[in-house]
Amino acid sequence: MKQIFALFIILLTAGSCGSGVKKEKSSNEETAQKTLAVTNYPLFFFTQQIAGDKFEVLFPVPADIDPAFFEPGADVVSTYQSAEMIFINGAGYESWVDKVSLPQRKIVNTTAKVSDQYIQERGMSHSHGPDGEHDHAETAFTTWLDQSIALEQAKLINETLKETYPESSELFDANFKALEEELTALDTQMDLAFSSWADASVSASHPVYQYLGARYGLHIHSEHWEPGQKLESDEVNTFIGSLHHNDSQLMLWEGEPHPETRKLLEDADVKVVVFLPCGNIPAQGDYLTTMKQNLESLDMVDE
Amino acid sequence: MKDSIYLAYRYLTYNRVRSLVLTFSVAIIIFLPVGLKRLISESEDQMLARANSTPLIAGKKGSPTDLVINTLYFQQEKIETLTMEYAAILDETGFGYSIPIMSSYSARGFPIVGTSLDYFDFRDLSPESGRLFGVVGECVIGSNVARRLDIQAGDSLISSPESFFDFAGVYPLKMDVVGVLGHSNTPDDDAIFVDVKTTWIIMGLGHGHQDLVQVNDPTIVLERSDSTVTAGAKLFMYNQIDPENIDQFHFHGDINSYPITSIIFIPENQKASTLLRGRIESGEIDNQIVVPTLVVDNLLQSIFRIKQIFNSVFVIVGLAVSLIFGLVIALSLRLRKDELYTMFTIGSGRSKIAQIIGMELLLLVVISALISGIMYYITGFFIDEFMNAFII
Repeated sequence: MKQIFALFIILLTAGSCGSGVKKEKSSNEETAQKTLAVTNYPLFFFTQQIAGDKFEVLFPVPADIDPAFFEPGADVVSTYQSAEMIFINGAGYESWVDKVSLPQRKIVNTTAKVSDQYIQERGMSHSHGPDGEHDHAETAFTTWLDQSIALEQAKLINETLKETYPESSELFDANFKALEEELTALDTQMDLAFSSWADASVSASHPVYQYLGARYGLHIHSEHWEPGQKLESDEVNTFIGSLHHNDSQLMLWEGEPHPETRKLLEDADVKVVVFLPCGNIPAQGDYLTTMKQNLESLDMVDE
Repeated sequence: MKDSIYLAYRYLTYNRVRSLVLTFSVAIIIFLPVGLKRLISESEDQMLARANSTPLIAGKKGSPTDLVINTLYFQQEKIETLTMEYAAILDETGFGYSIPIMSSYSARGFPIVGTSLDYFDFRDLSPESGRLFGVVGECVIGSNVARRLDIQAGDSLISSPESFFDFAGVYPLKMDVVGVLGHSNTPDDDAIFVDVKTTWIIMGLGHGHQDLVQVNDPTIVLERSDSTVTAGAKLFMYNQIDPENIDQFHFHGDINSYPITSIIFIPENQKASTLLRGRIESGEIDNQIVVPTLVVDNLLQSIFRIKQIFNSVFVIVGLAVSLIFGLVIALSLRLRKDELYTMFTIGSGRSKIAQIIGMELLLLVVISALISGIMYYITGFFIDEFMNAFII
């Protein structure tokens, strides 16, 4: 009798343990966050702002790498594969997408609806073998520097999230509305800030400001200079020689130039402005504060 | 009873050649109709199950049977290709989603199937070891491929050249095996899966070579200007994709114009399926879309007709064998006249003699039935071979 009673107690205990595990599992399932993945910081910011805390937004690009030139390894690809949705910038920004395997129906090209505004740039063409000549035409990809395109990108993220998770539509709409106001205000501020440079000769250290130029009426000539790179005076002189001397000169840099390069340029009356494209996570602040900081830098040289 | 069985057994083993011939004749006659019925009905079940689990297949206009067989069983008949753009056109209809299939190449006798990751979700396939492909140049193999070629995750496979006589053609691609799929008892077990972009590299539409901007060897770079570089045949082309050279791989032109053999389309619901078929059949959207179940049903109808012919033949052959069997028994009884007389004179009654002869026949039939049962069991292992040889 005692043995039967002991067996009954054991079975009862085992049963209650089992149900406890089950409860914990279902509670985990409930609290498990849905994951969304993005390929650059502006998309990370927009998605995070719209989706809110209910979603985990993954941006698996190391902070010291420009996401435009990122080549993901198998582990990063696996992170993207596991996400429920992948927001990409498009416009040829993620050249690596052609070389990896991602679930096509999870990929959302955020510039798909504004593809008619893509800016094409001819790249180097080459030929070998029987295929004949072929060129790698390049599309300018820093689309978000045109704040109207940035707003379209955010709008598409909002629409896609609403379509996929209709139960959270109201939250997405409310969050998007706040972001829309910020981006619209930023667009107006940029328009105003660059209006005084419309007739000026504007240069860029790197060809990343095409959409900025197109939106805010700037005629930008681009070099291929790296921010930390110390330029030789001959190189700077050749550049200065190519400028129209009657115009006021502005040069946008995607990072702080080498002190000697800055001095050479400023000595030649070229106003140097660090205008961060913000492709990766900024050292301080967020997308909006970085763009405002860019405009403040512009205002300072304006004065 | 025991003694009758013993005497019958001794008689059969003494005349073993005659017994064997009779046993196998009867075994074959029993096996043929039931074995063939099993082959056909199981093939039919397998084919219908595969077809039923695939809602729609889109492809270039041509033979629907070839299109379905290529898409479901990866039999690489030459079928016309459509472009990747067509998948986007179907997706834009909003009726469901497309899974591209590019099945034209092979490696060591197994088909290379270019597709997207959605295929694995759709077929509910997952790797038993390793992982699914992540970058171009990687492949995932079916369980039968792994077993027959004795390879596993971490090994490599080289694509077979399209033509051995095309020396200037596309180089074979050495693919990294990154996973082995669990056994599914479907044609997926006999396939090598890669990203569809990898098949385009195998085709030569994408390739990797030394960076021409960096190369200064005049025997490689024949001409260079500000916007153009012309290289000679000495330019080194990579035949394997690894982390060091992957950034040198590129595609020429618009990927949307690249070929695929077919599209598996997964409609959201029956209404979406009907609407899409209507649009394509009315010519609003180009090319053809087929319901695999209907195509496979049509194919099986022909096989049913063949089965009916076989059944008639078996009835006639069975009848002939029964007559021969009867004749053999009658003749052997005549030959055993003296033996039966001896049995009678030593005290065996007529009923006992009949029991012994009946037991001999029963033993023959039981052994025949056992043999045909074994043959029936073995037949189960040859369903795929039968399908490949006679149906697909």
